[in-house]
Amino acid sequence: MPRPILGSSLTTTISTSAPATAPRSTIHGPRLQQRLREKRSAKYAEAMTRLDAGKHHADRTAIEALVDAIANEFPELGIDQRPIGIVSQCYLGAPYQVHICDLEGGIVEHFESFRAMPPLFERARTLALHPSYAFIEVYSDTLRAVSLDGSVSVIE
Amino acid sequence: MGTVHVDLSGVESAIKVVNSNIGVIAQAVENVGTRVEYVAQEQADAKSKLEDLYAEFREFVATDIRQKERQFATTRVIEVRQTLEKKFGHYAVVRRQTTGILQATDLAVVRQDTMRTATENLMIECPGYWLAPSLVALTGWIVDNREVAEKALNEALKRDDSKASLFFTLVCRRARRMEAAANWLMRYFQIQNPIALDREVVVMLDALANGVFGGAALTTCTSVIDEWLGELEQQAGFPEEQRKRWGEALDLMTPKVGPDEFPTLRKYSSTWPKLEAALAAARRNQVILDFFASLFTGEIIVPPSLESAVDTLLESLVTNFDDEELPLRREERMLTLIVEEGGDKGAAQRRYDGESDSFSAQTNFAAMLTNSAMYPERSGATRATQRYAVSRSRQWIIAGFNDLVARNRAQVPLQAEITCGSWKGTSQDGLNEPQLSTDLAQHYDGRIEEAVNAVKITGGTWAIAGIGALFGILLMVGGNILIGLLLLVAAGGFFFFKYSNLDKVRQATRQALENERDEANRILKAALAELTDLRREIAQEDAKAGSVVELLSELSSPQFVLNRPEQARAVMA
Repeated sequence: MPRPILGSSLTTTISTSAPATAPRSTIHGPRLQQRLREKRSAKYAEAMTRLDAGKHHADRTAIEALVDAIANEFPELGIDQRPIGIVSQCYLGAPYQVHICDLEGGIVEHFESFRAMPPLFERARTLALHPSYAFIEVYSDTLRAVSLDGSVSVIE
Repeated sequence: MGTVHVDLSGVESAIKVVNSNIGVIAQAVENVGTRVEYVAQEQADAKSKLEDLYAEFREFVATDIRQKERQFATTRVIEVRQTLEKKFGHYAVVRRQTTGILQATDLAVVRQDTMRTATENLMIECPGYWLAPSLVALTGWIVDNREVAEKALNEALKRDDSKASLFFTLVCRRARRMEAAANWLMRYFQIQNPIALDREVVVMLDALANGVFGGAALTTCTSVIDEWLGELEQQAGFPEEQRKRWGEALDLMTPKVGPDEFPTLRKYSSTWPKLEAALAAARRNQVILDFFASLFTGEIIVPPSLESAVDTLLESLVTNFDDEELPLRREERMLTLIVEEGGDKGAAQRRYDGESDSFSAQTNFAAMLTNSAMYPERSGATRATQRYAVSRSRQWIIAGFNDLVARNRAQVPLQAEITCGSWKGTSQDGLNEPQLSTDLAQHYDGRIEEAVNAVKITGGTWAIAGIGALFGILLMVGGNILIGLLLLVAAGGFFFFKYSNLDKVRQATRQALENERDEANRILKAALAELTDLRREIAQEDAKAGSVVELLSELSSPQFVLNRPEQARAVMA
């Protein structure tokens, strides 16, 4: 358990109501890849970058807004086609380095430089720390690094 | 009770002898100890030499294999070229006559009968070759023999419709028959499928990029290319395939890190392979930047006359794109790459895989653009076409490049492990030297203390001294006082010698470990300094990725269509 510095814990459980409302997707294969390659909207990117600073501990509506932002960004995609989580640089200061928003587990968690994230997320750590990327979307088989302008690079 | 005098002078003398002998034995033991140390050192040296020898042997075997592969490839490539010459050499005569006939007609210095006879002979000498009837048709046209021209033309189209149509497009353009050229070009486009184009389409691109097509032909070309690309973009998976293709092509430009660079990290860091890959990948940005910058730097010299421009294209069309030669051309290329890579078949195969599309009989239009841009010498493209192809592909190049860069950035290790002597530590950027030095010193302090404390009277010494003393006492009790006493004294002397030698051993142990610590500290400092330099260089080179994207983003295809002197500037859609 990380050292609590904001509120009682740095792990926040969020409610993911999206599965119940997510549509059944008709996009598969190359079309899905193409869709996920499209530039992310400024609104979505902004919502993702607001994941930091412990704001979500004080403001649960912001966390829900985050989940909504993902649902709104990919309305035509099924829940299993959307990112399973987001990794980005943490600005809480040392020893914290990165944080994740695990959409499947419904938690936001901050990680120190010496503590490994879950395996699916850990491979995004170096990219999340690179200044060229605002945040990293984590999928089961790929990573998608989203630049500050919303453009997407795919790492298979 | 009377006083008993015991003469112990004999005992004293014997003790002196025993002491003297113990001294000799001690000296001998010390000598043995020195020799054991020497043997241990020799063994360590021998082990180290054996390891070096094994590494050298492996390198020797690898070098030998590479040399043999290189030798084989060098010999085989000559054979392949000879086979090419033997099987297809006679085509060269036909090829040379193409521009020969046109230039002779320009100058009007060759009799029409001579031309007709020459081309008719070619029909007989080269059965099945599309160019022979094309030349007969051309001669028929020049000598105004419509019947022969039409018959030969039909045969040429039957043998290879695409090449013959493009051939007559260029011939008509050369003769400034604009309408006929546009009709031939239209026919050429109608029989093309953008998903499976013949390789000679690059000649059409050359004609376009070099400004040979003007007016209607230029407009037709541009709109057809737009249509082809639009059609391809609509295909599921096509953009992804293009990005991947470009990513792979650019990845092949990754330079190798020199074998003498960062020697300490190379030897003492288990993270070195990843660090080396990260450095090479970061340095690739400059290579790519130089490649595109030099491609778009400098003026392309336009051939002075339309005739010479078209003649160059015709020569390319008739020389570079005959599919029958492809299997041999593929083998020739692979062998050449093996020679270029010094016999490293794996490296040659990787390079070949990157450009293998340029040896496919048919490929899609976008792949054709990639081949023209990256392997102009393979695809027969000119520099103007290379520029045009890059500018038309720039969105895919940028996406492929960004994917490649992101992939490499994800693989950069955050921490580098350094092993010095028996100590291991990690550093991110080499700036935590005080902390690591302290840790290393503490590690060795612990080891020294442990090793020094471990130097004590061994069980063997205790056993020998104990058994000696026991036997001495038993002998004395049994009446052999003199021998028992001697044995007792010898056991005591042995024990005393061992005990007094402990400090010397402790000192030697301490010294050996302190030397190891100092050497480890020196390695640590060198490794950290190299790591700092390495991280700095990776950061600097990585930042150049932005310059590559910036350069490519500024390109636009219309500006890379050359204007010929005889035509007005055309603005393309």
